[in-house]
Amino acid sequence: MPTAHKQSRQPIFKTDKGLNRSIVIQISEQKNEPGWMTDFRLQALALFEQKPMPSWGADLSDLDPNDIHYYLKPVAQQQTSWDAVPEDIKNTFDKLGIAKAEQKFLAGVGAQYESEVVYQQLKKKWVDQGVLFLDTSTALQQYPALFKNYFATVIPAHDNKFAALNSAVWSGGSFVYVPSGVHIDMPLQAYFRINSASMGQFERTLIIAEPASSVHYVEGCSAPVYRAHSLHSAVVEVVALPESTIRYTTIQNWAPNVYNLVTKRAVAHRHATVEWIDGNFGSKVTMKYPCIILKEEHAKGQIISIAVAKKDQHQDAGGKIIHLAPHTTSNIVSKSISKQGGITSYRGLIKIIKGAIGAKSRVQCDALLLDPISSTNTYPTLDVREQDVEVGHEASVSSIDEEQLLYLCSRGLSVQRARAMLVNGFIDAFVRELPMEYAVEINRLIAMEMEGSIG
Amino acid sequence: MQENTVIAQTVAYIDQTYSGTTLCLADYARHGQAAVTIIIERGVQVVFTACSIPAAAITFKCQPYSRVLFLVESSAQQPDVQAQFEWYLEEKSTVECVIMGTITGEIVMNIDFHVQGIGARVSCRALIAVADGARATLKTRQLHTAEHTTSTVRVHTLVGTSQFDYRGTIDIDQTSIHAKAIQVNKNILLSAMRKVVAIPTLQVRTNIVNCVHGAAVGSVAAEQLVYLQARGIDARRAQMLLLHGFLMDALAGACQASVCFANQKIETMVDELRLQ
Repeated sequence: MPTAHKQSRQPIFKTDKGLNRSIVIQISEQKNEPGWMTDFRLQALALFEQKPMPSWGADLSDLDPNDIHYYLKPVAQQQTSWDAVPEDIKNTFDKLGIAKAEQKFLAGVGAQYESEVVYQQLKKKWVDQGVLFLDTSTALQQYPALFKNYFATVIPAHDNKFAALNSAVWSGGSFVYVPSGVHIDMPLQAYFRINSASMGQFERTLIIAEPASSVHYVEGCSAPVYRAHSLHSAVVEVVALPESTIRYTTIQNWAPNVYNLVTKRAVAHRHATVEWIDGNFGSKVTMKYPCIILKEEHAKGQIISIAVAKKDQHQDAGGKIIHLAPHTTSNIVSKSISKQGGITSYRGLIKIIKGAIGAKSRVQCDALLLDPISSTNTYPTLDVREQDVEVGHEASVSSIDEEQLLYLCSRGLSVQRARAMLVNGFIDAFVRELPMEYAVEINRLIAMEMEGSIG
Repeated sequence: MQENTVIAQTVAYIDQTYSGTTLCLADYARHGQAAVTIIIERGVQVVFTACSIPAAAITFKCQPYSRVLFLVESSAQQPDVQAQFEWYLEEKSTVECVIMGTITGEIVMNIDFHVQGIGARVSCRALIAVADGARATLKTRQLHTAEHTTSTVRVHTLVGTSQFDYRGTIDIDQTSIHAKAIQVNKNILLSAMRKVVAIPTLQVRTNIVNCVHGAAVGSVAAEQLVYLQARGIDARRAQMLLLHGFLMDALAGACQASVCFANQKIETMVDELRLQ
């Protein structure tokens, strides 16, 4: 798992702290964007200013939008070879194991440092088949028609305050386009790094899978620890066209000074499958509720998530599935672990509209509390307007089973090892869905997290 | 019971004199009183019954070691009603509620259980049929603030062309170690209903607890219907049997008196739905 490495570097360009029209125009000019995008950004800024901060969920009172740099350009241009990436940035990603992973088991890698993608590479095999894996700003320049066709169609700027903020100041992120019939059999990985204090990262990711294609996109995030707060507010739009499959895996390990306020939504067309695999380990506050809109018949959606909250952390996560068509199916499995006074919340929605006959949905939320000062909340909503459906929600809260602990200890395991093993068993539903390399790392991370949590 | 002060001050004391008796809830919520407090004194065992849901806010204070059985039936002719039942359970007190019947108008019912005495136990079972054109909102809260407390809420609902909203909360504070809380809401949809919303929330602030909640929405299982029909039971009767079983399932673990009370009335409830 990524760990924090502080390395300072002078940026090529950096906006002043705070947000106004002039800053939005500066960002757009830096990127040499067409007029429609500048207008879109400015309209989004107006929406951001109009919308109030959310009054529900985690405490955002310490987040000061005027104490953040909204755009920081670290290098003059993006590279396609690690050798051409500045040494200090390359070292950061080397320590995170990105370059090594790219050679071994990834189809392509994008690495974003502050506001810009500094490295992007897709293996030739996939380039030849017409796959696009670009940073989003480059996609706007090189494929304007395709880009405009899908951009902000799943998450419009007025969706919520932080979607409006992202729409106003977005920079970087991934643009993935998989042509019809192409199955990318290795994951594409994007890595997001905030390296400066009081920094905002607002990447915008757009994934389009044409009919009968498939892709697995993995994103990782990290930042070094500073005293000042940073803000990560991404928008991810996913479009799964008929019979396609998209799996989106996130391993979020932001530093405990980062507010992680993310909007993720997918639209699944006929017989398409969308899966969000979502691991939240870091950040001060996370508010993230991946959504799947099952738009056409036989579409499937799955959300498997885990949240680990430690001291001074609030992981407010969940999932939403909206069944708009007949015979659509969905499944949500949410696991959470709270320790050292951490707070985890599951906030979910299953909505089945009239006419979505034969829709099936199942939600399972399990929370593990490792000490008496931690807490957990579950706020699910089931909204059903059709008769011929099957919807179920189950939730449980418990601590580590003393009998199971005794069983393992009596067989020679230390208490710490036994607890780590039981916690690994608890999150097995999540780990099972990860590529092997990540699963091993997650198990190690859990073992590390268990250190000092005995008793 | 000190009756004349009871009505004037809207406070009733149920003392040892009434232990072991069955009392009619309407006697306490009469004269259009908006709010009534009923105090069940230490060690008293009493049964409250009502043949309609009272349109009132009633607070029950159960002193240590008291036992209350609360059996309320909603009649099909009952007009629109708003009701609030607030229960405070002290040490080792036990409360069992069964609320059942067919809703034909608009009903809003809030039931709060403050499980605040060590070892207090409460169970609430709501067996509700929401008839065509009706609208029902049920809110339950299980608030645990003491050790070794137990609460169970089971809401089983049959929903016609109507609207049903259920909002259930389990809230367990930091002092409530060894608390056990269960909340289950199951809904069977009988026709092209307008809407069912279930929001079962859970807030837990200590780790040595056993806490479970669940919600389900579905229709009568076709394979179960086929199974019964294959054994010579006609479709209507088969559906009635399944619905009867579904409602009775809410009474799992209930005392014999509750089961007898419910069993007699479920048949009528299912009949009132006029299944095709």
